[in-house]
Amino acid sequence: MPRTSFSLVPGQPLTPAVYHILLALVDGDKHGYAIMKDVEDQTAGRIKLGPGTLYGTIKRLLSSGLIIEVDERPDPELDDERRRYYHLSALGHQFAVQENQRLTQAVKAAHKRQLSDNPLN
Amino acid sequence: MKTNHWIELSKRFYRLLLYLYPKAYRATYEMEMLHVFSDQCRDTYKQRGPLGILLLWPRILIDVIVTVTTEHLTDPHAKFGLLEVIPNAPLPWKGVLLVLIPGLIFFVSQVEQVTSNKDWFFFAYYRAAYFLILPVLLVWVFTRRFPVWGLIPFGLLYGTLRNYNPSFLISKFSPLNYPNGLYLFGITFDLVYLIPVLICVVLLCGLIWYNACQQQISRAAWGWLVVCGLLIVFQIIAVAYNSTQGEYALGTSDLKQYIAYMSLWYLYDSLPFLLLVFIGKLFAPKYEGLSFLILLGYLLPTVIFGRYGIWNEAIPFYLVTLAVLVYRFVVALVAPIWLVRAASVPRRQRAAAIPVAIAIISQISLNVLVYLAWAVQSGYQLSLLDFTFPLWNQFIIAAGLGLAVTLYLPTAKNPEQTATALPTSTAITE
Repeated sequence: MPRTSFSLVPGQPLTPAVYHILLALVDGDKHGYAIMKDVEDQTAGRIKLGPGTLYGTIKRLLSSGLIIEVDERPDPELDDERRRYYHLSALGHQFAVQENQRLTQAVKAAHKRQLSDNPLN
Repeated sequence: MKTNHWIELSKRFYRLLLYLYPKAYRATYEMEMLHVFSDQCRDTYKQRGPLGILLLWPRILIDVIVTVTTEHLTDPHAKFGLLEVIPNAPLPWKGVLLVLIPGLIFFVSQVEQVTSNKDWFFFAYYRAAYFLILPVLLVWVFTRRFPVWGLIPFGLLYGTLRNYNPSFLISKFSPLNYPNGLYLFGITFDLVYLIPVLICVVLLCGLIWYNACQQQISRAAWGWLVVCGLLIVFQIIAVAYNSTQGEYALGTSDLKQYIAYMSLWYLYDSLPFLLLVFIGKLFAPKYEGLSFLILLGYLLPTVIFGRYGIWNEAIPFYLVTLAVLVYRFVVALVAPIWLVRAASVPRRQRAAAIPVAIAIISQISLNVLVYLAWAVQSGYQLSLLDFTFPLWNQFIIAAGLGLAVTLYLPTAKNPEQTATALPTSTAITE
């Protein structure tokens, strides 16, 4: 189960679950299951959110204004109207960008030190 | 939608599990979660058949256990958990019991101590402090926030560690045990007291400096701090003066040794309390006046008088019992209830100051009684100065409490300061 605690201080690291949920919403509004599948795809199946973790995190992201619930449906005819859709807010976008910068910097630092998953390299 | 009995059975069971979540959470997310779980089951079945469903369940169960626990702990309407403090509002009654648990244990054990010859209360005294902190740490780890009901166990643990552990730990650590102290200026300093005193001095100076830099120490707080410092200095001077009137001659190494030993002993008695006052200040941005609960936890195990002792032959036992029970009742039960139910800043100021003042008065009277009884029994000629020793620590504690009131609470003239300082709780946790 991914750790989902995070602190709402800009620039501070986000937890994997929070980051990947924000990332899932970058390319458009999604409902819960779509977010779950997206996170699984992003991480090649390494992070599999359960419904409890997913909605617990969504609840906290909503209360902190990083995402918002939207009434509009991408295509109401194709979709179940009971599903709720979530949209990434400007604040959430800012947090995702900052986390992305932090991770990019970490990867750069790892490359600089020639860190590889192959110990012979 | 294509479905089968594996999926239907799983959905039915998952729907039952959802009842474990808090009511408010369920009302908002129950249908959504069921929907997501149903989609998950359908896809898994499509890919891997019944085996996939069986393999999905362990993951779902872990998810349910962890998230149910977290949601209950962080639910603002929960009976347990963090019990988030609302600015200028009393803590709900349902949370008061949690705050009172350590006090109740100590109060009941004290009643048992003074009313019977059984000694199970020793277990409560010496073990409760260690065990009571465990649920607090659990909640802290889970939620990354320190619960308000953890403040008393925190102070209790700190007080117990101060009372029993340094001498025990240091004496077990052989490099510090030899050569039996630090020899400086012709005096041997006992490391059992010297090390904790030095640690306290460093930490205390650090916290005072930190708070001063943050402009968190008001003029009144500086005043109380000076009073505390003066009381400690006068206490040491009084010890030195008193020793020159007794068995030690002026200028002898024995006198120096005695003064050094007693000074360390008295510093070790008072500095940890002042340090705790400043540690409590770290909780003040979130809990303001309720940070005072830490100090109540510290004061809980300070008096252990009972059936045993020479004074029992000179003073009526019911007086000791009465004083101890009043002290315990006030510190363990009345003061916490008053504090956590007080809604405004002035009320919290009173709630912080008055019960503890009563407790200190009862402790002072008890100390005086016991000291008098001991003197009468042993035929010791008491001087006025002798009385200062049993009382001095109470004065330092009283001044420390004054310091705490000025440090933790915003001024009554500016109560809105509280509202801005309080739960902007930024830690979001699952």
